[in-house]
Amino acid sequence: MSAAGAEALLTIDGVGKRFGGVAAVRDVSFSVADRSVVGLIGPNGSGKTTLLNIVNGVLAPDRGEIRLGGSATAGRRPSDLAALGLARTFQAARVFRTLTAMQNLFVPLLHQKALERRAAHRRAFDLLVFVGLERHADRVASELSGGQQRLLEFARTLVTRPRIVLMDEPFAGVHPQIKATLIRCIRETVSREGASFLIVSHEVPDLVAMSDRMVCLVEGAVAAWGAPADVVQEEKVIDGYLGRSEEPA
Amino acid sequence: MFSVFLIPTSTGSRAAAAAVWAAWVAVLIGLAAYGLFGTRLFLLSTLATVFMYAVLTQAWNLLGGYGGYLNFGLVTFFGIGAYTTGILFQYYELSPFLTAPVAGLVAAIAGLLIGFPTLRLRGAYFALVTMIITFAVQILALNLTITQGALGIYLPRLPLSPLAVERLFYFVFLGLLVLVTAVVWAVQHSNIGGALVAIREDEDAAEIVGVRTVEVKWAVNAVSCFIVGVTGGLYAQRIAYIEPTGTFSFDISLNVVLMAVIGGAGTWQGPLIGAPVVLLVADLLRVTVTSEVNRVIFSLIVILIALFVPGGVMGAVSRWRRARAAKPDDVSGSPAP
Repeated sequence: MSAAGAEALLTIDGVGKRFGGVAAVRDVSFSVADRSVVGLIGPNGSGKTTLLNIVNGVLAPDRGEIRLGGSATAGRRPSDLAALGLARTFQAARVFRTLTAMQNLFVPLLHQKALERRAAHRRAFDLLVFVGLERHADRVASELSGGQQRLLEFARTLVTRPRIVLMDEPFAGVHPQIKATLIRCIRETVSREGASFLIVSHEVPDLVAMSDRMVCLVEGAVAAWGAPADVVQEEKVIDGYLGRSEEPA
Repeated sequence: MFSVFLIPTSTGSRAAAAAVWAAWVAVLIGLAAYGLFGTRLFLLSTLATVFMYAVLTQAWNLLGGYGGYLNFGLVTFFGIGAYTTGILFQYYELSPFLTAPVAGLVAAIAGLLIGFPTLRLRGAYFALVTMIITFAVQILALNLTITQGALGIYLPRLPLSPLAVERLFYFVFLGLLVLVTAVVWAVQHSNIGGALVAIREDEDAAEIVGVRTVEVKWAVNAVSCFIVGVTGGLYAQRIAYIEPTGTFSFDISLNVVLMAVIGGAGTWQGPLIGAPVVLLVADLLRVTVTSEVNRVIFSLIVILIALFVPGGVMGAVSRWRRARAAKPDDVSGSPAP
């Protein structure tokens, strides 16, 4: 499998990571094009979150290379990568619990060059409107429901106008209404702001519907990569992740 | 490097906020009036000490309260400030009133140097190292020629009556307190305050969302050390004699942490409440309970506050405010665990 072409925003090329004797990620290569959504699926323990941690600089890969907008990410801190336009959400929403929703959105703006206060406030408030939390702007995050915290975390990733957003299990355990809001927001962010998304999820039908490309990891390695409809038909994906529905006797 | 601005909020009614501000201004006017017309030396002196400690606690609050980095070595920078003005007087006969900013600068540089390695540590490791550094610097002061070892350094007594001296320092520390409180208020209401709270709550997440956590901690620590250094420099003039044991006393660091915790760490009001409560209660107990039992009672009070008033006085106030403002929520879901 080759790495992406020249137009790719994010390229992951031959990346590997071991923890002691366990190979968590093995020779993974794929790419995320500009203004696209890539779905990342695979069974639990297949290395999806480890891969996201490598991409956003939390973990260093043992081998391989990652390029973001043409720049190698090796040796860069997560905050450096954030400055390059990479944002991320987590499996469990990691909002800053004692800050208000509005204050949460201001945190990533600390190093934004020459940002004018009124413009920052407008951007933050618009994002709260975008995710439907404008009435909660002055509520501390710990008082929001789990789903609202997820929306807030999503809005926080967008405040710096990132080029790519990594989302780890964004739909896990959320109310269907919140899930619908998240899907709408992701689609609108791609079309309006031109951002790309790499989304880890077990909600395969949703991911198939919203992704341009899809990659499946099984035991740390890429089992399939391509158009979503094709990926979910791959033998390796069915055997290693999706399973087969039992034939009636 | 930083794009710092105030974050607009609309919590609570304007009338209530105006009433609270009016109360603070009234307290300030009352204190200024007492400073001008009060004649009780003991009270003027005690209040000047309260103001000095409140300044130190506000400075500690920046990284300790907002950032969650429990610095048990604040007195290191206080002592460095005191010795800077002491030495500059000893060798160049420069008044500590003139050299206090230099003391702040030297303390800030020391804070940066010490902060480079220590601010990469977290939790108990950071607290322990800051404590150990205090003892190391104290031993240095005991052994260096320039600090005159255990003999210490004498500074000139001001040519004023004891009452006038206390009145002077009453206003010096009150003025400094107003200034530093304004700085802390601005930090609390700005995105740098938000970044510090983010560091306290989840430093890795703060870094991932784009906060250059190491640089923020270094910068804020340097500002904090500057304030502490200036205060130490002025303290040297106030007591007119500095020596390593008293100037680098661990009690000062401990008192500051207690004041922040009791008043409410991570709030601009906390140190203003914690400093008088700790000092006045301790003094009251010393006067009324004449034996070491007063320390036991004081410790019990601190333990009870820690157990039953988490977040200190301001923590209780903010919980009460939130409970009062709580409204039914029509969006699905309940507060996350």
